[in-house]
Amino acid sequence: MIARQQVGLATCTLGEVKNRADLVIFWGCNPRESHQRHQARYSASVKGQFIPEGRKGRRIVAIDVRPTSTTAAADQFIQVEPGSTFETATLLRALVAGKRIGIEEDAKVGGVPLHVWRELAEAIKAADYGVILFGLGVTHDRGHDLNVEELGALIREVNDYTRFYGLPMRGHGNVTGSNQVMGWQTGYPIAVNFNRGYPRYNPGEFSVLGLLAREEVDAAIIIATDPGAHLPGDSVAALQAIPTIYLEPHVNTTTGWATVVIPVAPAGVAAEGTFYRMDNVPLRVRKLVDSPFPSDEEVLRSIKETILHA
Amino acid sequence: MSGITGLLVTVRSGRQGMEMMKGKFSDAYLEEIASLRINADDLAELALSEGDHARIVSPFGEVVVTCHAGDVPRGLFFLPLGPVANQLFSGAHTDGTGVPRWKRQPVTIEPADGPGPEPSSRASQRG
Repeated sequence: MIARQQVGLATCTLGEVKNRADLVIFWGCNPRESHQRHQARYSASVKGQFIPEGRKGRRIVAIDVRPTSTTAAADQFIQVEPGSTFETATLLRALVAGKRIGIEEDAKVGGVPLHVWRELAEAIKAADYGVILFGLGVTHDRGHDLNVEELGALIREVNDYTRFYGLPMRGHGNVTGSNQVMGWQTGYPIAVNFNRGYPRYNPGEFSVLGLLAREEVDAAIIIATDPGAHLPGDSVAALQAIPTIYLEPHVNTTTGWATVVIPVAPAGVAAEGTFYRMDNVPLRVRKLVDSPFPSDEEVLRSIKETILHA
Repeated sequence: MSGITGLLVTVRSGRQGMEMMKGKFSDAYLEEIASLRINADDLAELALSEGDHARIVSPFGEVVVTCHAGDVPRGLFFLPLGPVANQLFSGAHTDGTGVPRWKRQPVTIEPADGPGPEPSSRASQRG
């Protein structure tokens, strides 16, 4: 998010990946474990309009710090040193632009010989339609958003030669939806603070973890996430020390300690709504079964009206 | 004996993702999120064997995990995302981004006698 605000991101939908991409680079991600239907539906074996041969019509490159089932199924595995995304993306920018690199061809960058990066840069320029699918190995390592900035700059510059796009491998259902809705309601996609009566934005300072670490929060409403399983231990302890209202359809590692747990209908199963896919495509989801419990929206509306009329 | 140092990398595993959907208190989920993938030479340096227990210590906490030798680089230790790994990170250290370095936490690993307390019981003790 922060990187996209700095350099933008030339991106595409998963439908375009399926129908057009003849070069797919998985960078710092392992979809065979984390997004198990991704390759079959969009990015590897699937046949597309302009990729009629499916897997045979695509060159697949995997960049990771360790061998995985994704790297094993790729045409080429580039095993890099941890924390080298910024450095290697910068090198690729220079190679794509034809700059002179002042080191020997066998000298290593990010643990990989220069000639391997040179061959990758040539493959990128030779592709008809390339895409980098990047994961947490890029975003959650040293450099964080600066790694994505450099990848975004590389992707933009490759478009001088061919069609080339980047797509983050978002996790958790509808995480993109919260970015979208906050974006069109406040102008900011994450870390929005309303405590002065108008939206303010500052990742880090107004992110959940920062607010909890500085003990600036004295009550919390938690919706559609399980902080007991997903936040660092000290952040969970900070939440446990304040009153919490928790909207959740399942028993999990947060329901045991939340002050109030309100059971809700599972979204997309017993409550209809709009779901944003990882490529920012909104999809309408229908209610499949009835639930004795209200939806998240009904509970929030009820709390809001009760407060307004108190 | 003394431990070895390296970088802890949290990862998704297919089993962790599947068992999470069935329930986060199942034996299979709790077993998977405490399963460490470590280079065989690192395991030997710790004088440990496949299935032995080890204690991982970071500046923010410590956990006991079960070791499995894997095809991973020396000095990099891979643990599935979840309440066990989370004890080794801090929400106060995010480089100003709001997100910890989930892929790069310096840790020390040393042999341990047996499994530690389950994460759920630790959580209820704190609460």
